[in-house]
Amino acid sequence: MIEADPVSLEIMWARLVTVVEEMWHTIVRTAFSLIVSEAQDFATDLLDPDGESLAHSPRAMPVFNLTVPIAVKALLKKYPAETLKPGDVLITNDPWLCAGHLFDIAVVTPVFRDGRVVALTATVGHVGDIGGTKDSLRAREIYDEGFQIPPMKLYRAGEPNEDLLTLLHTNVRKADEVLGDLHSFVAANQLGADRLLAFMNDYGMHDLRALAAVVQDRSEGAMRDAIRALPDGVYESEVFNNPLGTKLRYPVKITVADDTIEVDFAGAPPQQPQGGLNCTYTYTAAHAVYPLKCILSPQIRSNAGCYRPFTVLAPQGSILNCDKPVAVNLRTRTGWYIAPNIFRALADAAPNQVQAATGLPHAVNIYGRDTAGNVYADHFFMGGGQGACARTDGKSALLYPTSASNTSIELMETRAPVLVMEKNFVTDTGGPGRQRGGLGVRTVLRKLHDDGLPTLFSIYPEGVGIANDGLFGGLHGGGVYGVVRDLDGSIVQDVGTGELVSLDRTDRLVEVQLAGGSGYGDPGGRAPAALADDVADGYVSPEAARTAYRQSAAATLAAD
Amino acid sequence: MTATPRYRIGFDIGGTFTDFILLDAERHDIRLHKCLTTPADPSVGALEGLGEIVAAAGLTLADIGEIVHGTTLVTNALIERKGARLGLITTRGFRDILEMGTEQRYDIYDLFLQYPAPLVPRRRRLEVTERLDRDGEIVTKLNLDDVRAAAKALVDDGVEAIAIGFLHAYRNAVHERAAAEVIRALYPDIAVSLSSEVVAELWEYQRIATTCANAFVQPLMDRYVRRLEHELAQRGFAGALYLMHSAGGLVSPDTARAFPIRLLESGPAGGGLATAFFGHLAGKPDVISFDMGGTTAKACLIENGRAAIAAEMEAARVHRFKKGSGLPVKAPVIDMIEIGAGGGSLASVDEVGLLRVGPHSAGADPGPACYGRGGTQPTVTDANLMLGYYDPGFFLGGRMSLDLPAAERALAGVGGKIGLDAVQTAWGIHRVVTESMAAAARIHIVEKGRDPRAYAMVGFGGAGPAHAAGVARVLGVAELLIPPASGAASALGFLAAPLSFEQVQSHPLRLDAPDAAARIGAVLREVEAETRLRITAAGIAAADVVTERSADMRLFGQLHEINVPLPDGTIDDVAMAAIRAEFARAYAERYTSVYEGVVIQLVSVRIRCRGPIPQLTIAQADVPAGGVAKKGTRQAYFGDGFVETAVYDRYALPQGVEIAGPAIIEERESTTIIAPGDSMMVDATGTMRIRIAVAEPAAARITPATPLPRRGR
Repeated sequence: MIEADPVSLEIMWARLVTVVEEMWHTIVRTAFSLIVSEAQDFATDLLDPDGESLAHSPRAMPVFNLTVPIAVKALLKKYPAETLKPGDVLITNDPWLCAGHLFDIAVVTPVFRDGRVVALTATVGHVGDIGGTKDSLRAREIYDEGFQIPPMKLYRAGEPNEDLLTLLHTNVRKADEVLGDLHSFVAANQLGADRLLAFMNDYGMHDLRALAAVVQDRSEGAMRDAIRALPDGVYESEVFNNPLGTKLRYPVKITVADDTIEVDFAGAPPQQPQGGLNCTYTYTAAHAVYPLKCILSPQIRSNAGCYRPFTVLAPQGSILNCDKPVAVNLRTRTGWYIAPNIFRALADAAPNQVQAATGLPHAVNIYGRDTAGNVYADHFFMGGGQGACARTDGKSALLYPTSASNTSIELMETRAPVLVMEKNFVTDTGGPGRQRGGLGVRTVLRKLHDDGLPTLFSIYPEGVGIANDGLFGGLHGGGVYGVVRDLDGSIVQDVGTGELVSLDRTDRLVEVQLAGGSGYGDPGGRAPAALADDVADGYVSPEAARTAYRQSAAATLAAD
Repeated sequence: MTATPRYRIGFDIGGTFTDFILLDAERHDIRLHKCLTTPADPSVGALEGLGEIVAAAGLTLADIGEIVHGTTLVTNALIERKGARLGLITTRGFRDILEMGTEQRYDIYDLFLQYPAPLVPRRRRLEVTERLDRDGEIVTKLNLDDVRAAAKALVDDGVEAIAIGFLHAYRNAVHERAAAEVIRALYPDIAVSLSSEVVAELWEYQRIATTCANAFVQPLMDRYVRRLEHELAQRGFAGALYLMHSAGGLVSPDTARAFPIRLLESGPAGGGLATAFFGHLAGKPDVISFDMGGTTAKACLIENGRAAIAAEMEAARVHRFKKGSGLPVKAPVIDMIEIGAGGGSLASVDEVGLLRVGPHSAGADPGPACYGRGGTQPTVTDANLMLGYYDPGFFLGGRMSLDLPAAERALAGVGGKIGLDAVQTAWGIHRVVTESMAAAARIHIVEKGRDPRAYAMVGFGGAGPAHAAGVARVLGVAELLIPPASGAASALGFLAAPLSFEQVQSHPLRLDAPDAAARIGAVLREVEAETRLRITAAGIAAADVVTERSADMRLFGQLHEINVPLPDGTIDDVAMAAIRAEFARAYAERYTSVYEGVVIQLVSVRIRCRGPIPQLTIAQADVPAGGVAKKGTRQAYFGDGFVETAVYDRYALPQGVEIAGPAIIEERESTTIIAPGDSMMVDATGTMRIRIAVAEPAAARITPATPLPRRGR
């Protein structure tokens, strides 16, 4: 009946999206950590009673909206819907069931109507701290990485689970902030539940199943149509990363067959015994299907249906499908290479829909105690240069593949006693191409006060020693590194692929440079006027215009 | 402005028309006038229209005591990038902050997102040595030689304006002021904007971007105001000229020149004030405005007779409906949100086979299919025509005729893809537009912790009266007001505005600090003194200045604030307790209760000073002649088929008349649709008051028993 009424369906579907959007806004406005409220490292979701996604917030950490259904299903397995009571709130941060590391906590609230669970509202957010070591590259097992919350009840019929909250409060740094963020998630879920019930009242709905089936089927149908438009075939690619100073190879094989796609990571490196670089399968699968959605049906409202045509395979025990209890905290350092690999594999099949590799982002975690004994701990988010695509240059400084926002320098400085000395683009770090990659960014920080107290800076620049070539003749973006310098500019310490740096004096500067994006197309084909502008604005040096772009005229043009 | 003059004129330069209202305070009536906007130089049309309206009243400009003006100059300059050649001088190490923005992707599935280019290209963003810390303490002293060198380089490069934005300048303006002093001394003709003056608030990207936007339009505004003053004087005008700012108040030409970014949304601000005024006349202090034009629909919440003011907005978006795709502007603005499509918005079928309306618009050319200018895609206007809401022969009061067969072809073309005929498609478009606007308005209202059912709605704009009742019904609003003179609502609203100015000052402190009360009091005194000066300098007697104080506050550790009014008088222990209680109330209303053990933090104080609020009326001196009210009948569609519907001439409807729906009320600029079940009464002010029948709760269409349709795989 509803399937036959495209007008009502459009209206109701749009209402579901507004419910999750309101949840999203509630968290931005009420959370306590920089990472949630300012960087917006969270997602809100609305799910059907089976734990399948109905709608997620338009701005959402992509991995979260894809892993939350798995977490919800796991929670429902332990606490079947018919055993839940109004006022119950469920929680877990199990990396194998949720978003791949302990920081990401799922909070799930069943929505009751006429005494039955008709939907669930869910938030997954990256809290500011989860205990465990600060020195993540040294972690060997999940036990090193912090406080584990298996599927549990955070609230029982409206009563907070004080035992769990007390344990959590005891086991994390900046505990008030972490609990404040959880409070914000619970409030947002409740608000979403209220709005959903109001929506159901307006339409006289007692159940969401039929609506869920229809919206999911519609999305699925559109995705299958988009896949059919790709030529059938097997597409392969490989990328490398270098998280511990040794290059690791990641092959991928993508099979497009009629209206389905299989992504196979056979040949992935084995899980790593140290460093928290391992991806759980849920995390790998999310990072594999997310770029496919971007390529194939970016306009369609996302829900479970979009992802039914995809199969993701990753060898058990590999770095992309790791076993409990290996360490996983820094899994972005592996998972963030999946999207560029998929883009590269599908470049010939869909040259106008893919993007060259983007310089990967970094969040410097700054941690210590001030002279009054107060703990400060915040994440300073920054992005690299965006990869170019068939039509446009990459943006300089963009956070990808996360949906996070950067951190305001002034705000960061009011929360932690540090001084940001520089945050600027670096000339010639954008990968040359007919379309140029966005520029990479250099950031320099120091302690504000010469108080002799240690401040920890987690410096894990991603992509050191790796050059991701662009697409169709475009070149890789420039230079990733992390160093500590003295005031003369001499390097005191090179962090290599990552170190937890401790500084207790103000005459030492932490410097991180993130990669520029890779280029698209032959640099020699770049429009001379665009290149002249690049030179005039210092995005490209006159030398690079002559060498990498083979266009000496543009360099001269800009000088005029 | 100490004694309100007898004759005042408000005029609003819009995209198509320039609207004028002449108010005679003695006779207590108004006169309306409209003329075509002259896009090349809008002041040409405006001056001509001013001449015409005073002549029609038997006056000359010398008789006019006050002219109040709103302009889209600033908005257009930002959208079209037609401002000054601009330079930015900033703290060493940070010239790219302006281009980095938030680094956030505003659509997670779109790999090819576009961002607005920064207002200052990298080559004209220069750095100087200086640095303040978070407390405003000097870490590195400002190097004035750097400032001189940077200014010289920029001037040599031909800039007309320079923005200065240093880190933490909101906390201590000393370096920005010193830099400005040096530049002004060397180059007195260059416009200089300081971030510490434009918006003294933390958040470097938004503050510096706003400062650049201000500098970008400064020379333009200066020339424009200068010419307007000159031309008005030439024509004998000896009264006061004021400009409308985005937050619903007036400023002197001097203030407009210094802070032109404050005028970004002056037209819509007038609409907000007019809404409040219409509500006031109808005895409704709480109203929702619904203003639907050709390309967009806007909504604004009026509470207790006042529009809410937002601290920030986004200008010149790359994608009209996508937050994050525009330039952030931190300047007080009437909190009016775009809730959706306008009459020209295009309907289409999307990838999942659903009927979508907007965001693309047919614009004026080719315009809707029914305009007969070659448009082949159906628009909201085409749908309304098909449904019988518009008379093909009486559009814009008969100045334009509409091509019904062309509309029908366009509608059938889109509808055919999903098995709908032209009428079903038209009804679908009407419903989708109505529902989506209601949904967007609802989000805006509930975000503020309000229930739309407690409000009346005021509908205006060209397409507003045709859709307002539907939107009201979905929101659960029981009464809809369609005021007279709604075609010139913004110009009318200008005349309801007091002289006013708002200043903000970030000064983060915890309310549990021992000296909190004293420090709040000191900041308030300082900001209030500066803000009052803006009003008294414009001619308001000190005794007539009204001050409102508020603060942006949050729970300590949070990152976003809510604005909470502060009590008058000395900030003592009693006042502090009241502040805490007010915050807790406002926070609970919006989000959730304030739980125990948390500390409240004040982040910024805001001072708004205003002069007296002028008296206004909507009794029209030149109301068109009466005549016969009922013009005839036509077939109109209301969901269950076409019904014979009476058509009335609004200008001929006597006060007190009651009409039951279905009915169509026509006037020059708009058509009001009264659905079956609704009824309308014309009140003593000429306002049509429409009682909205309660929406039938939708049938329980979807139950567990509803079969699950599956697509074939």
